[in-house]
Amino acid sequence: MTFEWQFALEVLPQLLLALRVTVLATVFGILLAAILGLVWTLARRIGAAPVAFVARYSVEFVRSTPLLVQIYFLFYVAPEFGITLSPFLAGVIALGIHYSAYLSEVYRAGIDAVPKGQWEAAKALNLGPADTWRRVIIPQALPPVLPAMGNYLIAMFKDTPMLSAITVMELLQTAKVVGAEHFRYLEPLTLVGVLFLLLSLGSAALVRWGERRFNVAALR
Amino acid sequence: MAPYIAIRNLTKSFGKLDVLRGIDLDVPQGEKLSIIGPSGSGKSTILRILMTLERPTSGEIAIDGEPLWHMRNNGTLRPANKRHLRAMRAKVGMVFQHFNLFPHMTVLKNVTVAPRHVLRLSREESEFRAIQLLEKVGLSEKLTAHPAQLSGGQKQRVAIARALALYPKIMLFDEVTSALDPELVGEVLNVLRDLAQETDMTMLLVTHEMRFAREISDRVVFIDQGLIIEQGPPEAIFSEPAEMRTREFLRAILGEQS
Repeated sequence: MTFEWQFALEVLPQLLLALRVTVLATVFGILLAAILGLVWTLARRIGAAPVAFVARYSVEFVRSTPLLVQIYFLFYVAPEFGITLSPFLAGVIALGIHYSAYLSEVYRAGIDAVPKGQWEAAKALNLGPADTWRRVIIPQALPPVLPAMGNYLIAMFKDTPMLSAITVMELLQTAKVVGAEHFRYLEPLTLVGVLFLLLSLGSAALVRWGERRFNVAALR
Repeated sequence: MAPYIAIRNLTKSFGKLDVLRGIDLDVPQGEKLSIIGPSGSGKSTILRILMTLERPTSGEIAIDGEPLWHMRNNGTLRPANKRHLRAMRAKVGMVFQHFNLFPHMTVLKNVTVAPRHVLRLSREESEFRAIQLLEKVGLSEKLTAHPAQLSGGQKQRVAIARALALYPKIMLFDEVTSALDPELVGEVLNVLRDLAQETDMTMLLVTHEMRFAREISDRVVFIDQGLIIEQGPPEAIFSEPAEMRTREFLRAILGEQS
């Protein structure tokens, strides 16, 4: 079997269209994970005891169960509780929740690394809790953990093929369908691999660039 | 007249370690008070409790007649809640040994962040006041610099301006020259000297700079092992200390400094 360039070019537009779905799922997924992760972290640090308890064990639970199970659960089981989601939305939410647990740990590490003197200075200046977090702690906690967050962005991107399990027409699922139509899998699946590689490398470069920018701004 | 700061039988323990073992101290309004003593004697802990960074183990503190760590409630005293502590904190400012400037903010932002978000002043007004204060500490040319670009002495002067920007009634200086290279100590002491002479703020200084303490203080308190051993006018404490422990401490530290 030889690699047919002609066929590869023919199916490329279809795959690029599917890549859009993959990228969108990643973008919405990481946004949800970033926000939800911060909510977990703050709930664990400043929430009342029951809130902190729930947040802590939710994170533990999510981290200790497979992403694929969570995806299935949201898509096939949630409707029985009256929550019916489109495949894409269920996938994005599953990705967001799953990775929020990891990002929560990343935030925690960043916050723990802010020196105690910064908290004391904020208190001595009588800043309230909201201003202390927003203006003093979080701006110092985030830049050092940006590389770790970037790694999870790329990991999430590479996990999007799991959404094919609930019929989201993302890149891999589309390649499978295209392959089945033409009885040729070599070209579509190779293209999937190459596209993932290119975008992962691209995001890694983007993360490094963001990191440099942030660190210059923070002048540490 | 009641003292401005009244400290009664203040104790503080960290686990088994008794850092303060019963401090009684009255500070009248406007007094410049230096607290001296060996390291580990508990001097800084007094300031940290006044700034509400540490909770006392027992004892009472009142500022301007108002309990600091307690609230009056139908004639009984109850532990202070967050709101009470926040209201009381507005009277007190503090400068730290290690500056604790916000590294991600410019000098100007460091000085304006609290006036803007605590006093809710407009940007214009908070910047106007910040620039005045930074002029006073000799740093009006560094407005857009970040702390990392400043020397230790400059950082500490920014920290002083930052604390002053909230116009506290009481300023606490916790070994503010101890982390500085020797040649930078003078510029910070000059700022403190001006403050002591020009303002009617009540100032409490924990310091190892004996000559400076002697020059600017109205009163000096010597603390050892969590207790006040001796106090009085600087002349008396430094020239003819009554207590053996004070004499030993002064001999040791002055021998080092001369």
